[in-house]
Amino acid sequence: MIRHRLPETDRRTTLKWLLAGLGAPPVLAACSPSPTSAGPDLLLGVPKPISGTPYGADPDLMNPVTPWDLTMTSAQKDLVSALVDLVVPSMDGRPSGSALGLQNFVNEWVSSPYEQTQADRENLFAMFEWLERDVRGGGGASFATASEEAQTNALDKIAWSGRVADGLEPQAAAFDRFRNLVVSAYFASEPGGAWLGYIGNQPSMGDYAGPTDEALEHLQSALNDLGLDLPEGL
Amino acid sequence: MTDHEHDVLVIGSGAGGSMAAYVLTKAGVKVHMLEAGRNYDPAAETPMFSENRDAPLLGTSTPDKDFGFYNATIDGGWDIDGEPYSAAEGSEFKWWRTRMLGGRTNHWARNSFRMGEYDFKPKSRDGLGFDWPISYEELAPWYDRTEKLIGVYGVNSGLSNHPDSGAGVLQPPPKARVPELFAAAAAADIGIPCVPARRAVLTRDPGDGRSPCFWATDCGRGCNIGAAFQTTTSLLPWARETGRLSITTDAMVYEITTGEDGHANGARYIDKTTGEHRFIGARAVVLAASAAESARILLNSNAKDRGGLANSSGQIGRNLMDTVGSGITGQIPGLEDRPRYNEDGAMGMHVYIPFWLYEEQAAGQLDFPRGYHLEIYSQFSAPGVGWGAGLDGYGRSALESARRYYGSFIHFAQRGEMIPNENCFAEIDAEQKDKFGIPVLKFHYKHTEHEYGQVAHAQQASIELIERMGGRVVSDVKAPADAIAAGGEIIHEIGTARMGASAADSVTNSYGQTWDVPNLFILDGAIFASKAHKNPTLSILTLAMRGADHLVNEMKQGTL
Repeated sequence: MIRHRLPETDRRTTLKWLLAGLGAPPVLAACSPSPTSAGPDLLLGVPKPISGTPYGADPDLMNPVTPWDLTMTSAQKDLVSALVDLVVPSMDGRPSGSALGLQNFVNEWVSSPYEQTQADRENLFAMFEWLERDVRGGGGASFATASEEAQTNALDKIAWSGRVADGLEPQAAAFDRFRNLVVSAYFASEPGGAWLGYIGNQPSMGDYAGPTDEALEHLQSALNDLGLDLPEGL
Repeated sequence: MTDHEHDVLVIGSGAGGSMAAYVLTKAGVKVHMLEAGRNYDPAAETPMFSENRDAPLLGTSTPDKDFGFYNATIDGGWDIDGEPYSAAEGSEFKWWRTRMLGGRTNHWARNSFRMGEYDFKPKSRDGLGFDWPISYEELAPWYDRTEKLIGVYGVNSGLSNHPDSGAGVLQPPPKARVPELFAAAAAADIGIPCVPARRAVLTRDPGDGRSPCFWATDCGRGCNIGAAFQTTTSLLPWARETGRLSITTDAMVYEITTGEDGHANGARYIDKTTGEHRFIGARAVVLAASAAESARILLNSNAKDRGGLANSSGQIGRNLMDTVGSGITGQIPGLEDRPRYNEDGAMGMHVYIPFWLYEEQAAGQLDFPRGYHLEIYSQFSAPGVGWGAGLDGYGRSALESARRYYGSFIHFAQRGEMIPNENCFAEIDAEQKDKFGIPVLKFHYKHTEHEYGQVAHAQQASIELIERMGGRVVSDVKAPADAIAAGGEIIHEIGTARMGASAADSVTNSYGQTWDVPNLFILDGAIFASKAHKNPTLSILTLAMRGADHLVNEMKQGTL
């Protein structure tokens, strides 16, 4: 039984990221290139291969450990930090995504030795490479150091439903996944959870307090709009 | 007659085995228990209050921990390294196992619905499947004792085939949360009942060292205050307190042995810590390794005639059933941007929708047999992976959209009754063995139009509820054959050594006592004669209490 897949960052994988980064059709990106074929280098460098082990079926739940190494290149990390801040900017005096270290979560995710995250790894790396190439254009600054305008000009091509440029659907799907992961990590952080309004995980004695008066008033209003009655005895 | 200090050997430490050990030791019987998994100490190992952000990958599910990092499943899940199972061509069956003291009781949902009068006599009612050799009336006092002992919240709703408990048995349920009240309002408007759920979660101090729920931390992680029932905080420590229970963990049982008189005289197991094969004797054996594992052990026993032990009826492994499962999710505008409050509550359901169409069904107005209930899930839950799904753009607008929708989704999960059929069974795989060299199970599984018809009805009812709540369905509503959960996926597998009125077509009598081997009792889900839509654990506990009590009586009378 194969539970975990531990692919090497071989030439074929690298070229897949590269071709996707160039906006090549998926069918081309999926082809196995000739081992002798030459091509331009990856702008963000070649990440380390996956190493380390899965945490297994009996990890120490009281002292969680992430037993795999982080694999993103320095250039990838820089790009991801910038991208994280576009997804989670500093708002209302709250820290931005990179200040909360959400880029480290992305690195942990794409470096983990599980099939589900390995699929994300390939798609996200290709999207990072495409963003880098698009922003640099004819020799400009890297995504990480470019102006916010230059960054959003590139991102806007893949970030909005119904407005994805032709041929960039794989990059748009990868960004959708990236956004999902980053926003999840933001809400799971203490400041993000507070902004979202999760106020559980707090013990209280006695009977469960149930909805507040304010919450019940809101419910009553919604029920009134639908011609429904607030049930009694629950 | 024996050279050991105990009288009864109990195989398995989950719901059935632990209840048997509790009843037996309380009655003065010395018990030795074998558990295939490792020892587990909930006081030291339960990650109460641990944050998702502190777990690898925010605690999301992985092939190592299918239900998430913090879930109280040890060395288990859909697949266990070195312990495979197979499925026949065209069959899909998923077998959830865990290898730890207390078994699956450490992480179950704690939903605890009694079976009712119709559920015990289903064939008499509609001609399908099999009747139980016991009525609800006979089992009712045992349900009362079990519920009182473990602690169950709920109310007596007086609904047909959803029996009331005895006076003073149930604990008060927690107040309903906003989405539950919303669903109940819509249900009432279209004539569907929505009542407090029943769950094995304490809301009052039972005075036995366990504490009532303090309304925080996921029950699936286990509960180190004992509020959410699991055998490792209750039946097992209580049995140990008698001084009459000893336990060997890491003991993988593969055979129940018999003497020349045909009676069970012990079991063979592999000590997983050394790999050694060992034998342990006993005056009587209680098998409660879980429905499928118990069938496997019996089919692998008495190998000389290949028919398995206690299997003169040929029913061991047959009649495999699981709860019929499907689900529909909706998004409710009236729940958007609602005021925040602590909605953890008892974590699981506070209210649910019991089956409400027994009269219509009896009158022939439905095109499917048997019932289902709808479990309702919606709350401001702890953020984790997936909370950023379905967004558009980036930055403030995307985040504010996520915040607006938080807590506005509702999921209706169908949990229904399956009719046993000849295409659903487990047998010994003729070729494959596990890492211990024990032949593995091969599953055969096919649903029928009965189940598909029920799924279609549940889908329509769920859609009607969502629409009456002013919402939109966000699930992909699939055809029933595609929407239905795979066999085993609801983790209610039962029926593989059914009880009955006759040795000719059943494995045990109503006490779980095997017809062929009178000192061998099966006290887990294997003995169910039908699979009511009610979640099975409460009934496993109750049948085990009654069966173990019968074993005590027979031992006292000297018949065993």
